[in-house]
Amino acid sequence: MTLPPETLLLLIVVLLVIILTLLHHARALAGKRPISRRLLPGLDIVGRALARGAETGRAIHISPGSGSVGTRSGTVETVAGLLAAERVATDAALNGAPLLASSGDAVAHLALRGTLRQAYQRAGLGQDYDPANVQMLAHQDPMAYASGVTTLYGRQKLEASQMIGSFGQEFLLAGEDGQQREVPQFGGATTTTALPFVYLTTEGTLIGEEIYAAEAYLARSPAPLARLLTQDALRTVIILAIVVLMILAAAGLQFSL
Amino acid sequence: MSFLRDPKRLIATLIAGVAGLIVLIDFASAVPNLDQLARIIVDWAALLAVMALLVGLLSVTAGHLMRVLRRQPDWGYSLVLLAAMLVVIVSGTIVGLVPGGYTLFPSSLVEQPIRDLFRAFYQPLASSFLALLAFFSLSAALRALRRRTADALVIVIVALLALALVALPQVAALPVLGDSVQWISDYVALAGARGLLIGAALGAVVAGVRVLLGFDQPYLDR
Repeated sequence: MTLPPETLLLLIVVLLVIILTLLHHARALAGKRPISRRLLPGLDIVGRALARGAETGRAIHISPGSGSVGTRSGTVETVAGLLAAERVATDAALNGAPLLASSGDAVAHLALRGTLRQAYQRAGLGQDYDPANVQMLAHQDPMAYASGVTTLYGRQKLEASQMIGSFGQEFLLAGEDGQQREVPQFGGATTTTALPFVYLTTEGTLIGEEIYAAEAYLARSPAPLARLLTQDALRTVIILAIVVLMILAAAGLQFSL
Repeated sequence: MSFLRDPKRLIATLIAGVAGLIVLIDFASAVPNLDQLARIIVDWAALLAVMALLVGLLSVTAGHLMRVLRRQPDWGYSLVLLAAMLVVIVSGTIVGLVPGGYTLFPSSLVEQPIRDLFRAFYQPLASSFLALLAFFSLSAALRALRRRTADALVIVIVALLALALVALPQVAALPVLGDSVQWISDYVALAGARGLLIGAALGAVVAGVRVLLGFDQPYLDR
């Protein structure tokens, strides 16, 4: 069986990422060399909100966005949002801060319920998990989802709102309403349609690949930091490849698969 | 606890990892038997998505029914939602109004009753929300100007410039301004967008591989 060159390249890239992931996971677990990381602006909003929420009893809103799990666009961003939500839920369970979760898709809703239930159980507080606090506001309709979030903002005073995941222009609807109600907001998205609105309406913004790193920053254990090492290594490889190809192009040498 | 020592997590991880690898290999190359297996897995995923929709529907119904029965604040809106849900489900599956009468058991969701409902209610509402975005962006821009941070000012100024160029062709025809903005759009903005795309793609690849290997398990529910 002969494989086309593009297929071979794809499989080699996946194998390389698998090897890097396993190596970095082992390094993170070993803990021999400390893993340094730059500050991600705005993540402390969530930490402060968790501490305040335990005292004031006001809920923290978390959302992985209006995307679905299973579609070509939005799946990985939604998974990143679910992982970040799990970290926040674990801390909320341990601190005693109430949570309010929302999603804009049926599959993401089930995944969010499972993620939050798992977080509470891992914290040893499974009895504190309330499924009524995980709401499906819409299904594959971003604008309806955003209007549902504005309803949540209006119904009760929130300590903070974390919206990391798959968002489009509908973020403006929810984000601007949150700003007007003075809800501290923290958002992250990967699309150019959403990012300007996230930046203008939130106190902290995660841009592009930073949403995938959020889970590692929010985690208490060192193992998720392996993700940062793998992303940094791949980014270095891509940068070197771009520089080399640029030099080759400037020298008039053609390179094609 | 490591998932190797937890049978439930191990089985879930194996199912997710093997299914993901089969679909990935099928995407990369056409292997006959694997192609059939991948198609079966994707069909099962579609079925599960439909079941998830049913569960979500029941969850929403239960939540809003509780709000109505307990007369919680804004219970009237919940009643409207439940009534609308009932009308759409009945119109799409059992009997729906059409010009001149009614139709029984519509064969698909693109039949007359559902189309009319969407045209009469959903489309105007969706258009209204989209129109609201214009006012919300104005509000966000004014607040950004009041905040006077450098990044927000840049966003607002570039947005106003782009708006002026689109709305006023005379501005785009100006010799220096039009060419400069076009150059910024073709090189600076495009470079930024491509950098964002590459970074997000890298993050997505790493996230996907970590899910396949079982380091991240957002699908677990115990």
